[in-house]
Amino acid sequence: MPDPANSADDAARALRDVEQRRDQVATAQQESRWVSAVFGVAIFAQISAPDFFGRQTSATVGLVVAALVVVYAVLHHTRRGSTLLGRGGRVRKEAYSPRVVLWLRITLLAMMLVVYFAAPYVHISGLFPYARTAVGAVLGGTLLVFGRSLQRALDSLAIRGNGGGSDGLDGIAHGSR
Amino acid sequence: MDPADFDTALLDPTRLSIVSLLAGVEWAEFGWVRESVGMSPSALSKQIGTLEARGYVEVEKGYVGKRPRTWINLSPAGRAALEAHVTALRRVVEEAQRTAGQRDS
Repeated sequence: MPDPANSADDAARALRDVEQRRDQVATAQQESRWVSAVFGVAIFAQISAPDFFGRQTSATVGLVVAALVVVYAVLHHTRRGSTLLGRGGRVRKEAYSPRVVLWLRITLLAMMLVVYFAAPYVHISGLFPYARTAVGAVLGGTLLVFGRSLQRALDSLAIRGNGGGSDGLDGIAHGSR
Repeated sequence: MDPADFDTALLDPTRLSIVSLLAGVEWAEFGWVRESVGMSPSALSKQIGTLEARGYVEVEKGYVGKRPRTWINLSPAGRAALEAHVTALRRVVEEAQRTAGQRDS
């Protein structure tokens, strides 16, 4: 067994390993592909439903999608639920950069406001027949194909962006490279 | 450097890897820890048992559907031990750098 007490090189190597393990944490958030598939189908159904069943179905499909989001949120907060979603664990809140998380929330809110206020002025249905279906297929398909990569990228960004935290283990490899 | 500053359980690189990994999560599923540190289930079980005996990790067993699952989390004692161990490691590296600097100048 290498003894860091006897060797600065062993100590530096141990510190590097500790840091590498910290970088691995983002992978714990990775969910199964079926989660992206379910939400991809849900978005497709939400957007394309009026093309097939008339405008009155939008509210019903919207309620089903909202229920799906609630179930997802509940599962996400329990160990068994998270395991069911395919997650390996739950990253500590302290591991996230508050600044990056704030910017991500602001961006998400801005996108929702843009969609909310632009919706009355954009008539997708009038563009061409089954235009809503096409848009739904593109958005749903994008989520299905790139959902996990997007999630991984955002998690890495939020966790790596955390230069200073509160767990007393920041900059663990300081002076070890 | 006083060897007493080091945590003897964490001088084992495998146990240090496991504890470092768990330091970033509230809890983790056994399978994810096993994949992340690249160990066999039996080897990981043994190390987790050692860490649990020292009070460094807490283990919860349960079922998801019909499949048995194990969840592990770092205890406050485990986190404190890791912090102390990392501080001791840093000190060794810094002292070596200081000594090398004095030798050069």
